[in-house]
Amino acid sequence: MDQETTNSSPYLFWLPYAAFLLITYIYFGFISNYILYFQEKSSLFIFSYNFLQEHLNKPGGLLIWLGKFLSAFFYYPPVGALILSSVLTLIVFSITKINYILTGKYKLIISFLIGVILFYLQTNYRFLIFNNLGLLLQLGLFCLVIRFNAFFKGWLSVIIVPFIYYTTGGFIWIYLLLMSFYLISAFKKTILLRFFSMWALSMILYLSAREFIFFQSDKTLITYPILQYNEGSQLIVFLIVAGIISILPAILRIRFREHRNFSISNVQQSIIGTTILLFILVIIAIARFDNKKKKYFYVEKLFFENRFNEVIEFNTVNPPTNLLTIYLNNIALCETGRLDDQLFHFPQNKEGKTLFLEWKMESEILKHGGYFYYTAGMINEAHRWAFENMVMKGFTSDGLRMLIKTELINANYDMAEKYINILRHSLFYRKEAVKFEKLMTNCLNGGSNNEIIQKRQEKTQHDYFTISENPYINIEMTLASDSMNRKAFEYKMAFLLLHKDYNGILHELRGYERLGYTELPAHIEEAVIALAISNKGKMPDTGNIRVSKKTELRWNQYLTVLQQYGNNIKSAEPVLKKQFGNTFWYYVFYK
Amino acid sequence: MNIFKTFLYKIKYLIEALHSRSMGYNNNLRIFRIIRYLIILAFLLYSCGSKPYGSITLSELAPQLEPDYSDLTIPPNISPLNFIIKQKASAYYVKIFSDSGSEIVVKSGNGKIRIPPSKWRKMLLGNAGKNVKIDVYSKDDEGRWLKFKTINNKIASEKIDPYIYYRLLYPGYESWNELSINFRNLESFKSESFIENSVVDQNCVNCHSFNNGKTDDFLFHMRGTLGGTYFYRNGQFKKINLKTSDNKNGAVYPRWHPSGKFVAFSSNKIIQRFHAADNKKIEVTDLESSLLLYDVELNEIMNVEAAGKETFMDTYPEWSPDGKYLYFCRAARIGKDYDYKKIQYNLYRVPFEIDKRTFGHSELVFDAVQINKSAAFPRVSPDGRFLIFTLADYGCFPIWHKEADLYSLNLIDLKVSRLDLNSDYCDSYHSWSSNSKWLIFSSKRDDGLTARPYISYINENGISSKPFILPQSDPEFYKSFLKSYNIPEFSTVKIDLNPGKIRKLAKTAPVPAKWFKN
Repeated sequence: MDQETTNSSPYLFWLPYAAFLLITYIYFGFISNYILYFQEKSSLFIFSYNFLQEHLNKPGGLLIWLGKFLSAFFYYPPVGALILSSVLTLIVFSITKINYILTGKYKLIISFLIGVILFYLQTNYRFLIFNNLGLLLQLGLFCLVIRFNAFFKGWLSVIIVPFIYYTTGGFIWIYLLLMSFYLISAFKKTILLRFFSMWALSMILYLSAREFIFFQSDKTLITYPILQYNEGSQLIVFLIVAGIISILPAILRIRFREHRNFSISNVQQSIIGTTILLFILVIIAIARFDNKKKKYFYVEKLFFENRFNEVIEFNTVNPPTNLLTIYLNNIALCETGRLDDQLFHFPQNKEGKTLFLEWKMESEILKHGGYFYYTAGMINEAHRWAFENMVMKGFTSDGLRMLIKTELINANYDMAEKYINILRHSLFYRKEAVKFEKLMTNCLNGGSNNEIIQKRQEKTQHDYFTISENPYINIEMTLASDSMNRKAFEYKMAFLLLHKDYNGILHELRGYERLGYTELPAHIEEAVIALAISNKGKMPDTGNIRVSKKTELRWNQYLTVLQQYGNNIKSAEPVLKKQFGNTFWYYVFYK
Repeated sequence: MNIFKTFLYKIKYLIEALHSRSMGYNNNLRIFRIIRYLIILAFLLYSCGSKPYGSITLSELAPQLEPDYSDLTIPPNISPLNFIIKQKASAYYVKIFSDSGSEIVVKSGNGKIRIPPSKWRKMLLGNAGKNVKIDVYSKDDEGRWLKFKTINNKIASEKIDPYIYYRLLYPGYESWNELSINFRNLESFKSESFIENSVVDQNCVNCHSFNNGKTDDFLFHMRGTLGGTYFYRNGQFKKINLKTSDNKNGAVYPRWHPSGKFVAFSSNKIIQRFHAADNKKIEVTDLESSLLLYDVELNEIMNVEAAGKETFMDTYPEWSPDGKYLYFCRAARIGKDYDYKKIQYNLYRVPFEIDKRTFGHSELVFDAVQINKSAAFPRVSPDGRFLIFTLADYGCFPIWHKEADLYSLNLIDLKVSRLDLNSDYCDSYHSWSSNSKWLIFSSKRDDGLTARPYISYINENGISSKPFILPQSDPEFYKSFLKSYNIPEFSTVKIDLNPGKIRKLAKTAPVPAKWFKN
């Protein structure tokens, strides 16, 4: 669609941009706001010289810094969505502007085609904002240079190269190619001189950076941050878009002959174009919307806010299949004292992978693995996971929170204060930093009614060496030194249930009485009945706690259903699943 | 109030004058005079407002400085000791003055005191061997001034070595991302990366070691895909693979022989484990260790034949300044089932014949086991008079031991004493300056976790002065900086190394060292 500036209404001119902005805003702000949530949680922008300095040691670092700054505003999804959609719209507008400068016309097809592809890319929650910022900066600077090409006698295009390289790193390729195509198409001697000078200067910059300035690998100096933060199909599509943008001066000069019999007015063009654009955006939005991810991130959000009951309620209504979701749900169950009651209300991994995560230097594992240890009172190990995650991935709000809490529990107030100080220098976590300060003061003044003091009482008291490769052994060692650790005990029993370890369960049954339980958890009662059945009806020793009548009745019902199908396990499964799918018996029979 | 009225009158006059600017020369002169008046007024107001005047209350209390730069002995060539005054006030006035009468004044509204470097340098160098005093004044909200007790610091006559090299890393567990070996000019705040592991494919860089800091004999290890030991000498680098089939544990902790011809290494099999409950985060234990001698010129590596080595674990070599003795730490060899808390090291030494590359019989220098302790990191002063080492309850990795302290062994009368510079937290890895007067060491006294470099003066009797933390341009730097200063080493030389050289060298294949069977 073309737009003639002289006779068009300004409303029509802005209509497609407004439509693009609106759709992207609604999508990111209200429909797929989990994307903003994930990106905001993945980094923490800190107002300090140290934080800035960390980003100055390589070309492109400033772009990442800027990206993190803008990502901080994703804390408020409506604001974050506005930023994201504005960046995308500005990219579209920049391309249109470039087109106008080069050809005198406002051709919108290429602009919005790129906009749509970028929207498609942005629907992937791992596609960070710096990608679009990088593109916008190249386009914006290119636009400025060709618009004000008389400045510095036309040498602005060359003078600006060091700034672009240092600020945007690997994105400079886009600028260099854009400018090359632009300069070559002019084909004048002086302009060709600028072309060669631009590339020569770039080469000198790279060699200087490589030899004398930056301690970075060649790959980093040439491609950072593009290749370092993008991968797979996302990277390929992004490179294609970047490639198209790079050759814009050539593409925009291609003239399409208009069919004489098919000419429509500007108004019609604008409306039809906008409609088609809206249609495409909506199709992409629907196709790319990931409800599973949305649910998972919602659960994660509730979890990190310690809203454990809501985690469980949500997962009950929306049964999860994702291992990580179930892992978080199990922690929520344990924190609310229901792990051995409701373990089988949710799908579990029979090897115990939904109970604890084995140590791996992968971001999602490092980010979450420590929370099981925190719940079970292994505070040092929880701290270690959070610290290693910080070393590998940098500061995040949730990571800092865990570091602060574990340091407070261990009474390392000086270190806790340092982490609180860092949190205080963030944009939107200052209030939380103040809360932690008050908590620390409360601890120092001998306060008793707070999470830290309570956790301190539950903390592993006797020392041993942890084994990250086999988390279950840590449970055993914790219980060996502190048999009154209720949460560790629940995890142990959950592990034994998942492994159908009847001997293990039998051996530990008296533990419930010792820990002050007045009744056995539901799944343990189910296991007790299973043990009794296998021992010719003799009930195992559970101390003074008896299996409830309700569970006995339920077992009879289970048997009745099975008998109705002639004790055929396969035939009975659908009915048993429906009525008893959340029991240990069903798990034993069918998993 | 009169000043205020005059000020307002002048402003009004100025506006009128500017408005009727067309009235020519006289008017312009009037404008000029008014502007001059306003500038002088502003200056006077500034000066009067931030300088103590009137009745000043004298306090017996000392100002609380952070970092604590009071009652020190400082080198005459150290960078400014910038600090924060912790007592709350609306304004601060600090006067730094010397015995010779020179004076530096620093004013602040927030308690941060940044001393002008050039004035500081001039004052210190002009008063070496004398005192420098600090008077701190604070103003409360009512405008009343208070003067704290004067701080007195002594300026030593002896300069400190101009550089320190150290590794910067998070005081973490097992993973690393960014590792660098840095150097800092102690006479200014300038610090730079010497090597960053990002230039060598994220390999680990560690164990940097100078030859007494006087020459540019230098080495460091790299662990990973581009692994090897990198020797630097006379502007040239060599990459050597010190691991042979006869020393499967490789070469770990290095110490240059003063001649520069040899390097002693320990060869260690190390495990690292993590405490579940103890406030000690990490436990590092040697399962086996022995000493090696590397001949730099011949590229030969061999065992250090110290008597009894078959039944012991030897580690942390250190040469005497004359190169005739090799000091080291020795513990009984452990079996399969061992109690890590019972592994304790004594201090030994063994004579060395440089021409024959042979060692004599080892002798016990300090029996740490007898007092239920363990010694590590022996470091002999360049003048050969003292040996400082770290003493902890057990083990050979005291940086993770809160109880670790620095002790001094007088090499003349072999008396051992605990240094006064110690704190309630880990005080460990230390390095002597080339003139034997300054000691830099790692201390976790700040927060219990991050190791910071502290500097202390050692007098002719081996007595240490109150240590002070490495000064920074921003006195609040350490509040938010989370990395540890690991293995701080003095040096008098600045090694010329750039990323291009490192990258080129790292890509080359290492030259294998030859095993010499002695």
